[in-house]
Amino acid sequence: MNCHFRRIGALVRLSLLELWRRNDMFALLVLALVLLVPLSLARPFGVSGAVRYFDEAALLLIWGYSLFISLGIGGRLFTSEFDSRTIYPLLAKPVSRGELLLGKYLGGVVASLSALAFFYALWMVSAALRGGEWLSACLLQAFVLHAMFAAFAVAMALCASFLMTSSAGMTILAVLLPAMFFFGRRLPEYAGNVSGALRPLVYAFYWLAPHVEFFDMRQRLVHGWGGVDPVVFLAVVGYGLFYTVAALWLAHVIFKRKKL
Amino acid sequence: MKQTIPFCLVALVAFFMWLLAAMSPARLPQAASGGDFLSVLLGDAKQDLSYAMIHEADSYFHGGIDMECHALHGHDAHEAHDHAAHGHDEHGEHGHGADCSCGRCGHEDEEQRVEGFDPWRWINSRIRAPEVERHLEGDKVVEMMPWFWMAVKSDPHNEEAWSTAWYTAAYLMKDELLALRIAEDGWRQNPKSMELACVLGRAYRAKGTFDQGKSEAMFEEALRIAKSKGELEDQENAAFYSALGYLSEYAAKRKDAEMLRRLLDEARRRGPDHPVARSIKERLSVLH
Repeated sequence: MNCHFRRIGALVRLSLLELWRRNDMFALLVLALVLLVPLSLARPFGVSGAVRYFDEAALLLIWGYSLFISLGIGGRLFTSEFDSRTIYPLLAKPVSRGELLLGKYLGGVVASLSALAFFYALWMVSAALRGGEWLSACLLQAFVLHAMFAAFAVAMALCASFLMTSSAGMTILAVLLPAMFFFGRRLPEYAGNVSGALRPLVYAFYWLAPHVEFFDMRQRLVHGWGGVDPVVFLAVVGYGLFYTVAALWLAHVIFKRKKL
Repeated sequence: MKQTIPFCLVALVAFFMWLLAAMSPARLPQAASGGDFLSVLLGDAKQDLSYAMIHEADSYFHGGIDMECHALHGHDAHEAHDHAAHGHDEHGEHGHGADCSCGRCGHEDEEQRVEGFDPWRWINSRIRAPEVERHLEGDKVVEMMPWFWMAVKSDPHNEEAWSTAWYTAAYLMKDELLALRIAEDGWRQNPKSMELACVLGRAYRAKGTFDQGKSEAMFEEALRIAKSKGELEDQENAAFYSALGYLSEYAAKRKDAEMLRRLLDEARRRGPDHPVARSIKERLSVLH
């Protein structure tokens, strides 16, 4: 059992190192500074004191970045191993395919969460500098749900990389997830406006597609609504876990049957 | 080689932007409504952008709730927010319907009972809606200003953006100087707008910025624009009667019966039974 955890731990460390060695994080940080510093200095109509628009923009950027990083990490987890043929020496070691998948996935999630924690820490520093509330129960809930989203996005990207080419999978997810994020809750309204065979299709999509908007607590944070009811919070975590496990299970089945 | 690619891309984008800025709007395939970079780039889309910004400001006023959902469900989202007449409800009460099911307001339980349980809607309504209705008030109203600023920057000819920004500054922030500055800027950008002439006239009526001469001049300007237009739209009609009302008030204070008669004629020409026409008639009868 100990040996099992050690092997998975080694794979997690590898993924974490890979993310921070790449320049993606720093490029994103510079981009965030270029966008947010002028925004923080703006004084609309010569009036100061407005902070919510800044918080909203910063949190939206964090969401965009976490999506970009999670999909990138999930999509690359195995593709790079297959492309460079390093999958063979990996599988030659006493590691089962299931362990390899789980280890690499956990590594991807830890790497993605480290980036998320870094961006949230920056947001908290900025909130503290502006004299606002920088730590609250709502923020903790928002972070946990956002982390759940990141874990789910890595699993989806990993699964998609087995189903199709990595770039195709990432492109589809890069369209699907933001679309659900912004419009998912309005699908029943759209379904009501279409007729014929399209209506049951839209409803089916509404029931089956991952509702990533559940993980978004930006409005609560920005407008100070306070934390969400624990029952709802647990329901959303459970929802995320269900989709994550389903995506990983599918990836495992495909990887197990894959001829190398 | 790889390191030079980003620099080449940046140079290419910079060149393209310079080209757009240098190009006169008349030479573009579609005529842009202004000569600025945003007009050239976005064309008419900047008007939509501007209205989206006002919409965001409205949602900020309602504590982050998107009021559009009420409109989608047949509610009058702005029943207490009559922007044309600026009859905003100062207590911030609005028609939060108990049957809205958009998942953003959290008041959809009634409809759920009728339609059947939808767990996704249930979760959404609880995550994306506050447990308690709240509105921006006091110092917090300033949070709306960046959105108005972006709205008027996106489209300086958006009269609703200017007038709502003025209203917010004057009545919610109670900053008369800021309100006057916004009203003056708006009028400078839209010298043919009846509504903004009226807004500036009202801005000069405020206690801290009171200037009866300038205020009257702006209301007269509003009437002059109305005359030149002929048929008026709803908002212009509201501005027209508002200008008449204020001018008659000034005339009554001066005991200027001749002016009141002229205003009464103006009012009767457009609507003989309008309440403003009746009030001018009453003022005139008091003078006699």
